[in-house]
Amino acid sequence: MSAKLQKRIVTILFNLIVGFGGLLMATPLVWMLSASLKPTSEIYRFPPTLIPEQFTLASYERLFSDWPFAAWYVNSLVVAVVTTLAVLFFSSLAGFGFAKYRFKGNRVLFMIVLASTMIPFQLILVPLFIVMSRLSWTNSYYALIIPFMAPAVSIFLMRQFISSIPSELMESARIDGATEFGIYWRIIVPLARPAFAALAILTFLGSWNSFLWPLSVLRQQTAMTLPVGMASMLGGVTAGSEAPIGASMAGATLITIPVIIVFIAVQKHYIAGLTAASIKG
Amino acid sequence: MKKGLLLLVLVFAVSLMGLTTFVSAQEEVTLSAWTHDQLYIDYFNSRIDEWEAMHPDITFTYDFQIIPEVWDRVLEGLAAGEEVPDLLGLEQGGFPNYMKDGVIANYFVDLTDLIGDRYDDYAEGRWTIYSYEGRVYAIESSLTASVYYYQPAVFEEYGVEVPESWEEMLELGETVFGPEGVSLNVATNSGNWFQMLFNQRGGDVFDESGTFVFGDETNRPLAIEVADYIQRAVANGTFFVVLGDDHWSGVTIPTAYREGRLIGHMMPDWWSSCCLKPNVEEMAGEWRIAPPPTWEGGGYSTTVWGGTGWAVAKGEDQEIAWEFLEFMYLGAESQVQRFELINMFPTNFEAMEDPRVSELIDAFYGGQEIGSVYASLGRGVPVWYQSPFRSNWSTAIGDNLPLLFDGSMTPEAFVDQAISITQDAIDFGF
Amino acid sequence: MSVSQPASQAESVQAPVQPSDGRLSTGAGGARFAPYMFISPFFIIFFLFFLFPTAFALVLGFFNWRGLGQPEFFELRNYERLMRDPIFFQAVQNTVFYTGFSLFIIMPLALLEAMALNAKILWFKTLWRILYFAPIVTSTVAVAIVFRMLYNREFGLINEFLMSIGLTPVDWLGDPNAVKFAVMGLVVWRWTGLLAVYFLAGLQSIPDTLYEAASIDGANGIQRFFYITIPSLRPVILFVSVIVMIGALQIFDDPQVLFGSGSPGGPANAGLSIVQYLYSRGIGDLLYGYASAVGLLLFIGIFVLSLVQFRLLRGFED
Repeated sequence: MSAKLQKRIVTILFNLIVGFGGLLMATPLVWMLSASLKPTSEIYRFPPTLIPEQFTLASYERLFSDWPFAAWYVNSLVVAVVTTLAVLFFSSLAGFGFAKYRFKGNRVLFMIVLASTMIPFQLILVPLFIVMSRLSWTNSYYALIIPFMAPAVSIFLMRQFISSIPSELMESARIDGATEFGIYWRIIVPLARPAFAALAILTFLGSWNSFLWPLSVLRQQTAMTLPVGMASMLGGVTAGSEAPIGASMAGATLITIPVIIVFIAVQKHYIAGLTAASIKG
Repeated sequence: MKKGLLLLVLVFAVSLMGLTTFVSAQEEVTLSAWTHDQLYIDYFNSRIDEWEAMHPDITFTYDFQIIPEVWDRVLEGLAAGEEVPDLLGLEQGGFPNYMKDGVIANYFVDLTDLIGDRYDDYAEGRWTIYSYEGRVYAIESSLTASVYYYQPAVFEEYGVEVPESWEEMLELGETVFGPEGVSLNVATNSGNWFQMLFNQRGGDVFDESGTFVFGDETNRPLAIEVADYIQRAVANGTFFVVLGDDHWSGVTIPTAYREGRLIGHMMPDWWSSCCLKPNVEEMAGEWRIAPPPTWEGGGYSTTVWGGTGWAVAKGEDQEIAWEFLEFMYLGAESQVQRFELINMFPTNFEAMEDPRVSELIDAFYGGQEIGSVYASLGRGVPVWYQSPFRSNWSTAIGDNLPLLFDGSMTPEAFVDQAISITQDAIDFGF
Repeated sequence: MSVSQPASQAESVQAPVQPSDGRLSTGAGGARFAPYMFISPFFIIFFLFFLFPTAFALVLGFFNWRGLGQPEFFELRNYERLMRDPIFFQAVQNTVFYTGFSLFIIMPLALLEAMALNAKILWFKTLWRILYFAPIVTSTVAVAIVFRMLYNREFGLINEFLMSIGLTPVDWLGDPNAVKFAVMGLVVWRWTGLLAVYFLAGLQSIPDTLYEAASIDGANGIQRFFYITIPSLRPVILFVSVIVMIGALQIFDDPQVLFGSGSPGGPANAGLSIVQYLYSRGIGDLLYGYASAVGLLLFIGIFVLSLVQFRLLRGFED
């Protein structure tokens, strides 16, 4: 009897601890959302109000009127969407090539793909930046998209997945007179959809949240992506700037919340994709 | 009657013809400018009509852009062989970078002769920071003279006067305010902030020829004196430490003002419009300005921090660009207008004396004639010199200030480390 | 697009674990060049934007060049300068701290988190997983901006809380002794969930029968943890530790935004990371040669760890 009771108490305590931790994890995001809807004076009140006493959208209005926030949003969306599409296309194509063809150099070339993941981006940050500025690609989408259209890790992932697709399907398509690209397009692409979904989420998020490289190549305010733009909101160095607390919270909310909503919706697939990428890649 | 009509028609026709020839002879010029601060663009735009009226034969288009960290962006542009704009508004701290690799002489118009004798009509310290090897390459936007912003009511409450010297301030902090948890000034970890105090004491980091003199027998003791003062002032609470971006965009300072825990702040003129007024609007009437405390050991009556110099890039539009800049920035009238619109205090002596400047009453400062305070300091602006290595020095100072504040570094070690880091940079060339 | 395959079919082919032996032969005409065409985009991009810059970086490390004028051949002076720069050593020291903290504090925390989320007695599993894992998808910049506010010396929620329970407030972003912990606080929030995801996948692959057998043998919870959980997770732990090390060596976003552009390394550079140092020298000061030298040193460090990772992964594949 008492053992059962003890077990019950342990269970409740355990759940309380996990729950407390969960609330702690949620605090920054809840605080951010709540602060974005308050007037500045209320933001710094303690204890903080969860539901704003004085509900206002003024921070959002300021965000859009004082900073080119809409342009940043568009930039981020365009870059993330185009990058994702390009990565899906080029990685699956290469993955298909590596997985399903015997050709001279397959092994060596694939080793190069793997080895290339060892170059840390920081090593090429400066020279790549020089290349971009010589090409006059700074402040443009090109610099943000083109070098990242066919990452090695994605190729590895797609190769692994496509290897598991039975080759008989391709053989029969070939007998029916399909071209090689036709095989890719009509057989591989539809069958690789689960892998595409996982890769798309990872790539989109990677691009959406990317900071170091965009920070390096984007200097014009209207060319910035969301993270770079937001960081620039904080930075009035010598000229100084007023405290844009509410506005930056509004900006942070607008970057974060949509992604989290999507995350909640596709949570299972996302986590599956992450583990696949980790264990395999 | 008929004759009159005919004449009228004739005049009309001629003027019409004149107009058409006039229109077809229009020259087209695109003036481009980059800077980091919208205020300058606002000022230019406010006088565009007047400018265009002076040049009826030219059709202007304007491409004015706000570019954060414009100084880096321009260097990259030059390196990439891109076109840079005709006019560049560069924060003075970005200037040393242009002194490297001959950039300044290769790409910027030497303004020395264009300015000519007018040099003497302006505070000299505002030319020297844009000078390289004796030639001037930019025109300053603001005097950036420092004043002491303070809350008179609190001083009255404690029955004390506003300190006129730094030692007096330290004394007040020690005896009157410190025990109450009230601070009289702010300390922050910026090399510029330290330089502001050090320049006022009469110290030099670089001399006229660009030689690093911070470590010599005149300047090192002065630097140690200032560093030691800062350390003591932080220790007894006279200076309130606010680090990093918090100094600019944080809520720490405004709230400390409001709560009466920070009752004064020595900062340049621009502090008023960037950071004081917008953040504590409701304190209107509760602030005054006074000349800053001075050093008993000597030095200048005020000091400077910041500024933005406008330079003209070499190129086909360089002459008209210079005219534009001359029109906007030189001459007492222009400087008064600039002051009236965007609050940048004139560097021109005549403009400082102008009643529109010196008698300016500001409700935020309880109707005080703030212009007269600045004007009284206008000739006391320290003269100091840039060097390609100033940013190395400034970074070294800024990096170690927190250690000076919290007592983990002695003033001597603080100064000597800045000397050795800067000397290393000079030895290696970067 | 003709992507109208029924989902069930797609799923059914996901499962088979057939080794990739059934490759097409490339005897026939078109098929001979097709694979090269398919893999060429990667190689074009790789050569232009990765390999060339890498070679460029190696060369640049021996030059003094700021993009204008002729590069000056500098022999090893960039490296010599690096060895004399106290800020670089500060950055290395900080980065080592970040790495150690991540390995010895964050990783165990993530394992605990994964075990908690995997526990049978946990109610509302999905809810807690969402809360603990949501930080993974957030933008570091956005979150760092939020944390700046939470860390505020005077009004931050954290200090308000500390004061309300009678503790002294900490100047999280201003005290050189505290800033590293402030950075790590953000990293804990942002990254623990990600690591826990890996651990969770590992935990789920441990067969229940193992635990049941151990229970029958009379092993208590702690014994089960050390004799079953840890040994079974060994490959995952190794993998995660490499990820963590490489990630921590490359830390940039978190301190950069937390401290802001005014003094991105924090007070007295107490929070400056190696990559921040590289960024400020290379992109900020345009010291191309010098920053390339920093990049090369970082590369060597990461390369060694990547080799370890590569070995490990090869081990998994076999």
